Amino acid sequence: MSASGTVAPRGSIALSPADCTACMICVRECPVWCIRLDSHEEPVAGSDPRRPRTRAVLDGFEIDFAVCMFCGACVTACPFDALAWVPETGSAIDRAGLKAELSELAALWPIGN
Amino acid sequence: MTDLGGGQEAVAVAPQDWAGALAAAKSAGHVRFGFLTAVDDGPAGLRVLAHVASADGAATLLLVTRLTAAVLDSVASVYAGADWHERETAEMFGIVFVGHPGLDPLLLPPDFNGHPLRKGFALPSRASAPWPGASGPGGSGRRRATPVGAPEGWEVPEPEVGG
Repeated sequence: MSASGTVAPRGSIALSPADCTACMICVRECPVWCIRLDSHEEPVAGSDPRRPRTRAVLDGFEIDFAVCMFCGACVTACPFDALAWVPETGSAIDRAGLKAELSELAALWPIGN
Repeated sequence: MTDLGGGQEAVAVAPQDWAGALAAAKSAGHVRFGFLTAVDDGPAGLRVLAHVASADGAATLLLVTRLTAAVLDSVASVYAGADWHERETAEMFGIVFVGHPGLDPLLLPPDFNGHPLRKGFALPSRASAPWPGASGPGGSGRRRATPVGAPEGWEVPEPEVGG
């Protein structure tokens, strides 16, 4: 998905991978099922062997902006503020091109935030 | 009569008084027809709403009725604009508007089954598509919930790829 150069208050949704904990709340809250999230669990070093701790690691994140209805439920629901509205709108030559995956969504994240 | 502020008022009407209430509203000066639609309140049943306004649009009136059965008098003879709105409400909610000149579907194709805006109607594409939220963090499947808006008792299709 490339930037079309137009600006809108709800142009696209950006992701901050550093803040995302792969909790899946945005995926479950989306009314149109346009978010896909892949993650795996890694053991936390030094955790008590009686109750070994794991943490989720984000592997993949995709928003299909052809399906997204720009309601903002994901932005509102994220407990870690890892999703945000950005003014840049996307564009593509075909419907499949409107799927934005992790690196694109991270690149949209406002610099300095 | 409830004053909603800004020149807007709302009034609750019994289903048997529906046509009379719309006719009275028009005689009282609400000559502009806005919309007629319904809401499925689930166990509480169906609500039908009609929005009419004065000629200059300054005074608006929202009439609401709670249905006990999916039947209501048509008001297309009172407001001509209600004709299409009643056709759409009929196909989306399964409400029969008695006295309507021709209650054919407005938007849905002729072979469509069901009333899509009823809460119990699940989108056919949902039945086959895996819900991305079905697996928990890390794909372990620890947490499970139903998708937003899913009808009660709807079964979550299994995700196609495990975590």
